[in-house]
Amino acid sequence: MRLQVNQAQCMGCRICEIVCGASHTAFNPAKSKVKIVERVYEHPHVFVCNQCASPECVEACPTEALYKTDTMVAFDQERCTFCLSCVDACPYDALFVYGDHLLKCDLCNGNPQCVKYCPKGVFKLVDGFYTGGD
Amino acid sequence: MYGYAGKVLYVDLKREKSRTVPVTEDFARKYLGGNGFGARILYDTVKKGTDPSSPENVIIYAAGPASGTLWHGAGRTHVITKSPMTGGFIDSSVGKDFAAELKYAGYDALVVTQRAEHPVYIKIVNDTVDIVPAGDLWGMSAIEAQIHVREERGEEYSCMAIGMGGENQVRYACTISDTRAAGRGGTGAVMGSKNLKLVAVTGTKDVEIPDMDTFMEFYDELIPLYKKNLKSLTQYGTPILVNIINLMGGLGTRNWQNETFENAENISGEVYKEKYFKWHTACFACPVGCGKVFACERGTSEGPEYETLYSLGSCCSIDDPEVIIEADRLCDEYSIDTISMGVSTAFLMECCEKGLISDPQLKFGDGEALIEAIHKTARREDYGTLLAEGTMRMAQKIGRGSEKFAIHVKGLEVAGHSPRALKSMSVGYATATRGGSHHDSRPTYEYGVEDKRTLEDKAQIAVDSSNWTAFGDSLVVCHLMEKAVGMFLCENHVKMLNLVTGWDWTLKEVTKVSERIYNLERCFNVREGFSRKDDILPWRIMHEEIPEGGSQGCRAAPEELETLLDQYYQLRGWDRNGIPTAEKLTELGLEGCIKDIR
Repeated sequence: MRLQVNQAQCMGCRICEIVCGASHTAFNPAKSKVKIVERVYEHPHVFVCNQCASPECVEACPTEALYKTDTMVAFDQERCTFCLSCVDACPYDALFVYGDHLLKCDLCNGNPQCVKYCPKGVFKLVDGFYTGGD
Repeated sequence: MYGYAGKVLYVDLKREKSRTVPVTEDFARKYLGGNGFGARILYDTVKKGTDPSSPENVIIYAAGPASGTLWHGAGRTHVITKSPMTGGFIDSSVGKDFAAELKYAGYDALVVTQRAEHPVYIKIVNDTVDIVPAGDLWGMSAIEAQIHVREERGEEYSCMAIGMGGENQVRYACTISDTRAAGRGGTGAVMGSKNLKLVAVTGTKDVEIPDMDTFMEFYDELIPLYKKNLKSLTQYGTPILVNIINLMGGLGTRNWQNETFENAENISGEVYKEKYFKWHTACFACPVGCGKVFACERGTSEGPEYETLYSLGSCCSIDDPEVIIEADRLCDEYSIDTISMGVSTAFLMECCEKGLISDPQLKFGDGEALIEAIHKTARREDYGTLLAEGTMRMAQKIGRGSEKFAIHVKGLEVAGHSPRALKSMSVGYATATRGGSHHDSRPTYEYGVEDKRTLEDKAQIAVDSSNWTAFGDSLVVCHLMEKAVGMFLCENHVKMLNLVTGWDWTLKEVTKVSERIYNLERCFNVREGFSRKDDILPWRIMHEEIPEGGSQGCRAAPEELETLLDQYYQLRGWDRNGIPTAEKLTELGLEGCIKDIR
């Protein structure tokens, strides 16, 4: 499973960041696993894990904190030594850091909040790994 | 305290020091946030008679309890200061995400005091506050300066910036955030007077609310209302209003000599969408996305918005949509309010038309002349020095009857909603603490009323509408949400506040806090010498009838305005001179103001 992102539809409202970074009692987009970057007079761009078929982050991870399952690229916080090799390795700049935590999209256990709340339908949950081409 | 960061940050530019002051629950409950916090802080820190351009003026950037949350329209920031245009209270609102980042950094408001010796910018990253030399940024456009600061540090700062208009203290210079503007009243000129080029903020802290599940439940309930009621804003943005208002006969044209623009279609939202649209933009947390990026050979701009199409378009009789795209972009880069720029230019165009001045030769409909006027104004070159002072001061200088067609209220040029065709707006503009602003009393309700010509209920509409805006500006949510959530204070607003603060307020308490905030603004102005004599409309608006179109024959006759003022003051609990009574102020817990205004 992965998020298919329609970049052209994004209008930079950051609702995906807000719902992704929210906890039971707080809002905080700095904890979001999806990021919107918007430069002045440039179209906003969405950064989020693609769940790659051949994930370079997994290859770079020395402790197998990042690993492939049958359906996605998973992350085990317990095994992470916070070396950030994965952040450097990701060709899509889709891994983030908050404090001493790595932030990686976990697809919200199959019910991604960004898919639910994006007002422009930028995100779509689809089967399979990312093999390029979206 | 849920919904609040709990601190106000003060930055003293002279001593290059910062400190924080806790926000107490009592203060929060009395003034809410945003506009309310700004009104109280301004009232307490800026003494009567202070020159707005002096170091003793302060400038406040304020968030509210909704800022940083998911509430629709929570992406606005309020900039509050003593206005160089009116000499009174000004609170100008701007979209994007500055207020959210300010909250995430841990502050409900930023208060900048004094003047820096040399150009500086303020950089805030959570608890770290730096005052940084900005000599290299001075002279850059408001856009370029933001890009420069972001790239320098590689962080996603949200910024408030000025361009050359602010640096040169064009009286109506605005503050630019991203490509949006806190347009009205000269907040950018105050930044310029403080040698403050820019404020950059980013934060990583939580904004806490009592319970996410109940918050989201109500959020989900409201979503269909936005989809249903704000569709045209999503599709076309505010330019959709051009054809609608023109058809109603309320589109200020040729400095309000007319209110129907024969070439309105050329600058309509439909034409912009079809020919120049590039992509939609949205402020923080906004599902509507009324922002539109338009591009043509003359350049790219976010906008023009409706107000700009009126001021730089119909008011100057300019029907070239590409000229307006360029003019809009220039105003953003220079940080100049498009409404005041356009109406001031239109005033000067009429002075030329009537032969009151021979230099410069500005003609209605001359787009290139408008572009030149913007450059000259921002640089205060040549006749730009005159234009940079705004309509009221130009009329005082030119004289010879020109004051009769100087379209301002209290020194602030009137926005694009007709005070002749909309009776609630006539009294709304006249009493507005900001002057000729469409954000004290809103025109939205009356656009939907069939019989606009009677006076019945119009004062009440203005009072109720300005109570809603005082609340909306303090919770800090966007006024454009009113068609979905409510054009007057209602249970939806109460719920929005309670769900972020955990309070159990009723509509009565929400109304009272809105009244308190609006009365405090009024007291600020009364302390400066404002009274009924200043609650007046431009001579043309009161004495000349709309000559054509859907609102033909309408005017805000002086006796009509007097009637509406009497009604308005009575509803507000003000005396016949427009001064809040001691009884009213006591009822609102503003006893401290009584001695200041008597």
